[in-house]
Amino acid sequence: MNQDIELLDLALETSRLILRTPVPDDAENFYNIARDPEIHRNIYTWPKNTEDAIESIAKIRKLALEKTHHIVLFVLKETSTPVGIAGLNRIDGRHRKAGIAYWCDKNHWRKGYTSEAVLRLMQFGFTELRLERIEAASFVHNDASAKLMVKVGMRFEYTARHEFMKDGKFLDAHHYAILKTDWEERQ
Amino acid sequence: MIKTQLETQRLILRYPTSDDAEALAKAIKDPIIAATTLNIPHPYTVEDARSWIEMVQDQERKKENIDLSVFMKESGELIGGIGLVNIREKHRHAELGYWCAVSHWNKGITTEAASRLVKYGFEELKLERIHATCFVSNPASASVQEKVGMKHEGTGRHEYIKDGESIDLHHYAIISSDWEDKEGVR
Repeated sequence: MNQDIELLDLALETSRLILRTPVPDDAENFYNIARDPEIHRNIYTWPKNTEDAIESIAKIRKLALEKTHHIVLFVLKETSTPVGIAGLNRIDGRHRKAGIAYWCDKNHWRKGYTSEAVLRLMQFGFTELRLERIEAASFVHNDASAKLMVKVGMRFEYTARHEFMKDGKFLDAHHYAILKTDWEERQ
Repeated sequence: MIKTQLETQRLILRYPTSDDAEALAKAIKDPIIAATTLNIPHPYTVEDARSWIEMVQDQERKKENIDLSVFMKESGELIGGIGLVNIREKHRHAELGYWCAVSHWNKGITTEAASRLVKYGFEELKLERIHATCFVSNPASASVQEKVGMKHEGTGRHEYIKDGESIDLHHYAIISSDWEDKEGVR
Protein backbone atom coordinates (compact mmCIF):
# COMPACT_ATOMS: atom_id res chain seq x y z
CA MET A 1 0.00 0.00 0.00
CA ASN A 2 1.17 3.50 -0.69
CA GLN A 3 2.02 4.79 2.77
CA ASP A 4 3.10 8.22 1.59
CA ILE A 5 -0.42 9.54 1.14
CA GLU A 6 -1.57 11.94 3.83
CA LEU A 7 -5.22 11.32 4.64
CA LEU A 8 -5.73 14.43 6.73
CA ASP A 9 -7.44 17.29 4.92
CA LEU A 10 -7.19 15.52 1.62
CA ALA A 11 -10.10 16.68 -0.57
CA LEU A 12 -11.58 14.54 -3.36
CA GLU A 13 -13.92 15.78 -6.07
CA THR A 14 -16.76 14.29 -8.10
CA SER A 15 -19.06 15.93 -10.61
CA ARG A 16 -21.43 17.22 -7.92
CA LEU A 17 -19.51 16.78 -4.65
CA ILE A 18 -16.45 17.66 -2.63
CA LEU A 19 -15.32 15.02 -0.13
CA ARG A 20 -13.20 16.49 2.65
CA THR A 21 -12.05 15.68 6.17
CA PRO A 22 -14.40 17.44 8.62
CA VAL A 23 -13.01 20.33 10.70
CA PRO A 24 -14.22 21.40 14.18
CA ASP A 25 -16.47 24.07 12.60
CA ASP A 26 -18.47 21.30 10.89
CA ALA A 27 -19.73 19.94 14.22
CA GLU A 28 -23.27 21.27 13.96
CA ASN A 29 -23.71 20.10 10.37
CA PHE A 30 -22.19 16.79 11.30
CA TYR A 31 -24.75 16.35 14.04
CA ASN A 32 -27.64 17.46 11.82
CA ILE A 33 -26.79 15.01 9.04
CA ALA A 34 -27.36 12.05 11.34
CA ARG A 35 -30.25 13.53 13.26
CA ASP A 36 -33.15 11.64 11.73
CA PRO A 37 -34.34 8.53 13.60
CA GLU A 38 -34.69 6.73 10.26
CA ILE A 39 -30.92 6.92 9.96
CA HIS A 40 -30.47 5.67 13.52
CA ARG A 41 -32.16 2.40 12.55
CA ASN A 42 -29.35 1.70 10.14
CA ILE A 43 -26.16 2.72 11.90
CA TYR A 44 -24.58 1.76 15.17
CA THR A 45 -23.35 5.07 16.58
CA TRP A 46 -23.95 8.69 15.74
CA PRO A 47 -23.33 12.03 17.46
CA LYS A 48 -26.09 12.69 20.01
CA ASN A 49 -25.47 16.46 20.11
CA THR A 50 -23.02 19.09 18.89
CA GLU A 51 -20.52 18.35 21.69
CA ASP A 52 -20.59 14.71 20.67
CA ALA A 53 -19.97 15.75 17.07
CA ILE A 54 -16.97 17.86 18.13
CA GLU A 55 -15.51 14.78 19.78
CA SER A 56 -16.25 12.59 16.75
CA ILE A 57 -14.53 15.08 14.46
CA ALA A 58 -11.46 15.21 16.70
CA LYS A 59 -11.33 11.41 16.57
CA ILE A 60 -11.81 11.35 12.79
CA ARG A 61 -8.92 13.79 12.37
CA LYS A 62 -6.69 11.74 14.64
CA LEU A 63 -7.48 8.54 12.70
CA ALA A 64 -6.76 10.31 9.41
CA LEU A 65 -3.39 11.43 10.76
CA GLU A 66 -2.68 7.82 11.74
CA LYS A 67 -3.72 6.78 8.19
CA THR A 68 -6.06 4.07 9.44
CA HIS A 69 -9.35 5.76 8.50
CA HIS A 70 -10.26 8.30 5.85
CA ILE A 71 -13.65 9.64 6.86
CA VAL A 72 -15.07 12.53 4.91
CA LEU A 73 -17.95 14.93 4.92
CA PHE A 74 -19.40 15.19 1.44
CA VAL A 75 -20.78 18.57 0.46
CA LEU A 76 -22.47 19.90 -2.67
CA LYS A 77 -19.89 21.55 -4.86
CA GLU A 78 -22.10 24.45 -5.87
CA THR A 79 -23.51 25.48 -2.49
CA SER A 80 -21.12 23.82 0.00
CA THR A 81 -24.22 22.26 1.62
CA PRO A 82 -23.13 19.22 3.70
CA VAL A 83 -25.15 16.15 2.66
CA GLY A 84 -23.45 13.10 4.12
CA ILE A 85 -20.58 11.26 5.76
CA ALA A 86 -18.61 8.42 4.20
CA GLY A 87 -15.33 6.80 4.97
CA LEU A 88 -12.73 4.15 4.37
CA ASN A 89 -12.32 2.43 7.73
CA ARG A 90 -9.76 0.13 9.29
CA ILE A 91 -7.32 0.57 6.41
CA ASP A 92 -5.19 -2.57 6.69
CA GLY A 93 -1.83 -2.25 4.97
CA ARG A 94 -0.83 -5.86 5.61
CA HIS A 95 -3.86 -7.33 3.84
CA ARG A 96 -4.44 -4.31 1.61
CA LYS A 97 -8.09 -3.98 2.50
CA ALA A 98 -10.47 -1.52 4.12
CA GLY A 99 -14.08 -1.22 5.14
CA ILE A 100 -16.41 1.41 3.75
CA ALA A 101 -19.35 3.06 5.49
CA TYR A 102 -21.68 5.93 4.71
CA TRP A 103 -24.78 7.83 5.62
CA CYS A 104 -26.68 10.68 4.06
CA ASP A 105 -28.88 13.46 5.42
CA LYS A 106 -32.49 12.37 4.91
CA ASN A 107 -33.28 15.62 3.08
CA HIS A 108 -30.90 14.54 0.34
CA TRP A 109 -31.86 10.91 -0.10
CA ARG A 110 -32.54 9.35 -3.52
CA LYS A 111 -30.37 11.70 -5.53
CA GLY A 112 -27.42 9.35 -5.89
CA TYR A 113 -25.09 11.50 -3.77
CA THR A 114 -24.03 8.66 -1.49
CA SER A 115 -23.11 6.29 -4.30
CA GLU A 116 -21.25 9.14 -5.99
CA ALA A 117 -19.22 9.68 -2.80
CA VAL A 118 -18.69 5.95 -2.25
CA LEU A 119 -17.48 5.42 -5.82
CA ARG A 120 -14.97 8.24 -5.41
CA LEU A 121 -13.68 6.74 -2.15
CA MET A 122 -13.38 3.35 -3.84
CA GLN A 123 -11.40 4.86 -6.66
CA PHE A 124 -9.13 6.48 -4.09
CA GLY A 125 -8.79 3.16 -2.23
CA PHE A 126 -7.93 1.09 -5.28
CA THR A 127 -5.76 3.54 -7.19
CA GLU A 128 -4.07 5.71 -4.53
CA LEU A 129 -4.01 3.37 -1.51
CA ARG A 130 -3.56 0.33 -3.80
CA LEU A 131 -6.10 -1.76 -1.89
CA GLU A 132 -7.00 -5.28 -2.99
CA ARG A 133 -10.42 -5.43 -1.30
CA ILE A 134 -13.03 -3.03 0.09
CA GLU A 135 -15.77 -4.50 2.26
CA ALA A 136 -19.01 -3.26 3.77
CA ALA A 137 -21.77 -4.57 5.98
CA SER A 138 -25.33 -3.45 6.61
CA PHE A 139 -28.16 -4.59 8.85
CA VAL A 140 -30.46 -6.92 6.92
CA HIS A 141 -33.41 -4.54 7.30
CA ASN A 142 -31.55 -1.81 5.44
CA ASP A 143 -32.58 -2.41 1.82
CA ALA A 144 -31.33 0.98 0.62
CA SER A 145 -27.81 0.20 1.76
CA ALA A 146 -27.82 -3.27 0.17
CA LYS A 147 -29.01 -1.69 -3.06
CA LEU A 148 -26.26 0.90 -2.91
CA MET A 149 -23.58 -1.74 -2.35
CA VAL A 150 -24.69 -3.61 -5.46
CA LYS A 151 -24.95 -0.39 -7.46
CA VAL A 152 -21.33 0.53 -6.74
CA GLY A 153 -20.13 -2.92 -7.80
CA MET A 154 -19.90 -4.82 -4.52
CA ARG A 155 -20.85 -8.47 -4.40
CA PHE A 156 -22.79 -10.18 -1.64
CA GLU A 157 -20.59 -12.60 0.34
CA TYR A 158 -22.54 -13.75 3.38
CA THR A 159 -25.07 -12.96 6.06
CA ALA A 160 -23.76 -13.14 9.60
CA ARG A 161 -26.47 -14.10 12.05
CA HIS A 162 -26.92 -12.15 15.29
CA GLU A 163 -23.66 -10.35 14.69
CA PHE A 164 -24.55 -7.10 16.43
CA MET A 165 -26.60 -6.21 19.47
CA LYS A 166 -28.53 -2.99 19.14
CA ASP A 167 -31.24 -1.71 21.49
CA GLY A 168 -31.33 -5.10 23.19
CA LYS A 169 -31.86 -7.02 19.94
CA PHE A 170 -29.45 -9.17 17.96
CA LEU A 171 -29.26 -8.14 14.33
CA ASP A 172 -28.11 -10.04 11.25
CA ALA A 173 -25.75 -8.27 8.88
CA HIS A 174 -25.21 -8.65 5.14
CA HIS A 175 -21.56 -8.55 4.08
CA TYR A 176 -20.49 -7.29 0.68
CA ALA A 177 -17.10 -6.71 -0.91
CA ILE A 178 -15.47 -5.50 -4.10
CA LEU A 179 -12.03 -6.62 -5.27
CA LYS A 180 -9.59 -4.59 -7.28
CA THR A 181 -10.28 -6.85 -10.30
CA ASP A 182 -14.07 -6.24 -9.98
CA TRP A 183 -13.31 -2.54 -9.88
CA GLU A 184 -11.08 -2.62 -12.92
CA GLU A 185 -13.68 -4.54 -14.93
CA ARG A 186 -16.19 -1.78 -14.23
CA GLN A 187 -13.92 0.97 -15.51
CA MET B 1 -11.21 -15.13 32.80
CA ILE B 2 -10.78 -18.88 33.11
CA LYS B 3 -9.58 -19.40 36.67
CA THR B 4 -8.12 -22.88 36.48
CA GLN B 5 -8.64 -25.13 33.51
CA LEU B 6 -11.18 -26.86 31.29
CA GLU B 7 -11.31 -30.60 30.88
CA THR B 8 -12.65 -33.05 28.30
CA GLN B 9 -12.44 -36.81 28.11
CA ARG B 10 -8.89 -36.80 26.74
CA LEU B 11 -7.72 -33.21 27.15
CA ILE B 12 -6.81 -30.41 29.51
CA LEU B 13 -7.20 -26.83 28.27
CA ARG B 14 -5.34 -24.21 30.28
CA TYR B 15 -3.28 -21.04 29.97
CA PRO B 16 0.34 -21.85 29.12
CA THR B 17 3.08 -20.81 31.57
CA SER B 18 6.73 -20.01 30.87
CA ASP B 19 7.51 -23.67 31.66
CA ASP B 20 5.55 -24.67 28.53
CA ALA B 21 7.65 -22.63 26.08
CA GLU B 22 9.84 -25.48 24.83
CA ALA B 23 6.94 -27.90 24.45
CA LEU B 24 4.96 -25.24 22.58
CA ALA B 25 7.81 -24.53 20.15
CA LYS B 26 8.18 -28.27 19.52
CA ALA B 27 4.46 -28.94 18.94
CA ILE B 28 3.96 -26.00 16.61
CA LYS B 29 7.14 -26.21 14.53
CA ASP B 30 5.81 -28.08 11.46
CA PRO B 31 5.60 -25.63 8.53
CA ILE B 32 2.08 -26.81 7.72
CA ILE B 33 0.84 -25.16 10.93
CA ALA B 34 2.21 -21.82 9.77
CA ALA B 35 0.85 -22.43 6.26
CA THR B 36 -2.73 -23.00 7.44
CA THR B 37 -2.92 -20.15 9.97
CA LEU B 38 -2.48 -16.41 9.70
CA ASN B 39 -0.18 -15.35 12.52
CA ILE B 40 1.96 -18.37 13.42
CA PRO B 41 5.50 -17.90 12.04
CA HIS B 42 7.84 -20.51 10.63
CA PRO B 43 10.43 -21.24 11.87
CA TYR B 44 9.02 -20.94 15.41
CA THR B 45 11.68 -20.55 18.10
CA VAL B 46 11.48 -21.11 21.87
CA GLU B 47 11.88 -17.34 22.09
CA ASP B 48 8.73 -16.92 19.93
CA ALA B 49 6.94 -19.28 22.33
CA ARG B 50 8.09 -17.27 25.34
CA SER B 51 6.84 -13.98 23.94
CA TRP B 52 3.50 -15.59 22.95
CA ILE B 53 3.06 -16.99 26.47
CA GLU B 54 3.92 -13.64 28.00
CA MET B 55 1.40 -11.94 25.72
CA VAL B 56 -1.51 -14.29 26.47
CA GLN B 57 -0.95 -13.82 30.22
CA ASP B 58 -1.30 -10.05 29.89
CA GLN B 59 -4.26 -8.91 31.95
CA GLU B 60 -5.40 -6.33 29.41
CA ARG B 61 -5.36 -8.93 26.62
CA LYS B 62 -7.17 -11.44 28.81
CA LYS B 63 -10.23 -9.19 29.01
CA GLU B 64 -11.02 -9.92 25.37
CA ASN B 65 -8.96 -13.01 24.55
CA ILE B 66 -8.77 -16.45 26.10
CA ASP B 67 -5.78 -18.20 24.54
CA LEU B 68 -5.32 -21.70 25.93
CA SER B 69 -2.90 -24.52 25.29
CA VAL B 70 -4.21 -28.04 24.78
CA PHE B 71 -2.60 -30.93 26.70
CA MET B 72 -3.16 -34.69 26.54
CA LYS B 73 -4.61 -35.61 29.91
CA GLU B 74 -2.68 -38.86 30.24
CA SER B 75 0.78 -37.85 29.07
CA GLY B 76 0.65 -34.13 29.86
CA GLU B 77 2.02 -33.44 26.39
CA LEU B 78 1.26 -30.01 24.88
CA ILE B 79 -0.37 -30.76 21.53
CA GLY B 80 -2.17 -27.65 20.41
CA GLY B 81 -3.67 -24.26 21.01
CA ILE B 82 -7.23 -23.00 21.12
CA GLY B 83 -8.75 -19.64 21.85
CA LEU B 84 -11.85 -17.53 22.10
CA VAL B 85 -10.57 -14.18 20.94
CA ASN B 86 -11.93 -10.73 20.15
CA ILE B 87 -14.62 -11.25 22.79
CA ARG B 88 -17.02 -8.31 22.46
CA GLU B 89 -19.19 -8.00 25.51
CA LYS B 90 -21.32 -5.31 23.87
CA HIS B 91 -22.37 -7.66 21.06
CA ARG B 92 -21.86 -10.87 23.05
CA HIS B 93 -19.80 -12.47 20.32
CA ALA B 94 -16.33 -13.94 20.00
CA GLU B 95 -14.11 -15.71 17.52
CA LEU B 96 -12.80 -19.26 17.82
CA GLY B 97 -9.29 -20.15 16.63
CA TYR B 98 -7.09 -23.23 17.01
CA TRP B 99 -4.15 -25.30 15.81
CA CYS B 100 -3.08 -28.89 16.51
CA ALA B 101 0.33 -30.60 16.35
CA VAL B 102 0.59 -32.62 13.13
CA SER B 103 1.32 -35.88 15.02
CA HIS B 104 -2.16 -35.62 16.59
CA TRP B 105 -4.20 -34.89 13.48
CA ASN B 106 -7.20 -37.04 12.54
CA LYS B 107 -8.02 -38.07 16.11
CA GLY B 108 -10.82 -35.61 16.76
CA ILE B 109 -8.61 -33.69 19.21
CA THR B 110 -9.40 -30.23 17.88
CA THR B 111 -13.12 -30.94 17.68
CA GLU B 112 -13.02 -32.13 21.29
CA ALA B 113 -11.18 -29.01 22.47
CA ALA B 114 -13.29 -26.67 20.33
CA SER B 115 -16.57 -28.19 21.57
CA ARG B 116 -15.47 -27.58 25.15
CA LEU B 117 -14.58 -23.96 24.52
CA VAL B 118 -17.80 -23.34 22.58
CA LYS B 119 -19.72 -24.75 25.54
CA TYR B 120 -17.76 -22.46 27.85
CA GLY B 121 -18.55 -19.51 25.59
CA PHE B 122 -22.30 -20.10 25.63
CA GLU B 123 -22.73 -21.36 29.18
CA GLU B 124 -20.21 -19.34 31.15
CA LEU B 125 -19.59 -16.24 29.05
CA LYS B 126 -23.25 -16.13 27.91
CA LEU B 127 -22.25 -15.38 24.35
CA GLU B 128 -24.85 -15.10 21.60
CA ARG B 129 -22.57 -15.89 18.68
CA ILE B 130 -19.23 -17.62 18.13
CA HIS B 131 -17.72 -17.35 14.70
CA ALA B 132 -14.68 -18.84 13.03
CA THR B 133 -12.94 -18.60 9.71
CA CYS B 134 -10.57 -20.83 7.79
CA PHE B 135 -8.67 -20.63 4.54
CA VAL B 136 -10.74 -22.25 1.78
CA SER B 137 -7.72 -24.48 1.13
CA ASN B 138 -8.13 -26.05 4.59
CA PRO B 139 -11.11 -28.45 4.53
CA ALA B 140 -9.96 -30.12 7.78
CA SER B 141 -10.52 -26.88 9.64
CA ALA B 142 -13.90 -26.34 7.99
CA SER B 143 -14.82 -29.83 9.14
CA VAL B 144 -13.98 -28.97 12.78
CA GLN B 145 -16.23 -25.93 12.54
CA GLU B 146 -19.08 -28.04 11.17
CA LYS B 147 -18.59 -30.70 13.84
CA VAL B 148 -18.90 -28.19 16.68
CA GLY B 149 -22.24 -27.11 15.21
CA MET B 150 -21.23 -24.06 13.24
CA LYS B 151 -23.03 -23.21 10.02
CA HIS B 152 -21.34 -21.98 6.89
CA GLU B 153 -22.36 -18.36 6.39
CA GLY B 154 -20.37 -17.62 3.26
CA THR B 155 -16.99 -16.98 1.71
CA GLY B 156 -15.01 -13.76 1.72
CA ARG B 157 -12.78 -13.25 -1.29
CA HIS B 158 -9.16 -12.11 -0.94
CA GLU B 159 -9.55 -11.28 2.74
CA TYR B 160 -5.92 -11.91 3.57
CA ILE B 161 -2.61 -11.64 1.81
CA LYS B 162 -0.14 -14.33 2.87
CA ASP B 163 3.29 -14.76 1.28
CA GLY B 164 2.14 -12.47 -1.52
CA GLU B 165 -0.97 -14.55 -2.34
CA SER B 166 -4.58 -13.49 -1.83
CA ILE B 167 -6.57 -15.89 0.32
CA ASP B 168 -10.33 -16.55 0.38
CA LEU B 169 -11.90 -17.32 3.75
CA HIS B 170 -14.83 -19.48 4.78
CA HIS B 171 -16.97 -17.91 7.49
CA TYR B 172 -18.72 -20.16 9.97
CA ALA B 173 -20.77 -19.32 13.06
CA ILE B 174 -22.94 -20.84 15.73
CA ILE B 175 -25.54 -18.79 17.59
CA SER B 176 -27.08 -19.58 20.96
CA SER B 177 -30.27 -21.10 19.45
CA ASP B 178 -28.16 -23.50 17.31
CA TRP B 179 -26.31 -24.43 20.47
CA GLU B 180 -29.50 -25.06 22.41
CA ASP B 181 -30.90 -27.20 19.58
CA LYS B 182 -27.67 -29.18 19.45
CA GLU B 183 -27.55 -29.71 23.19
CA GLY B 184 -31.25 -30.45 23.41
CA VAL B 185 -31.77 -27.62 25.89
CA ARG B 186 -35.15 -26.84 24.37
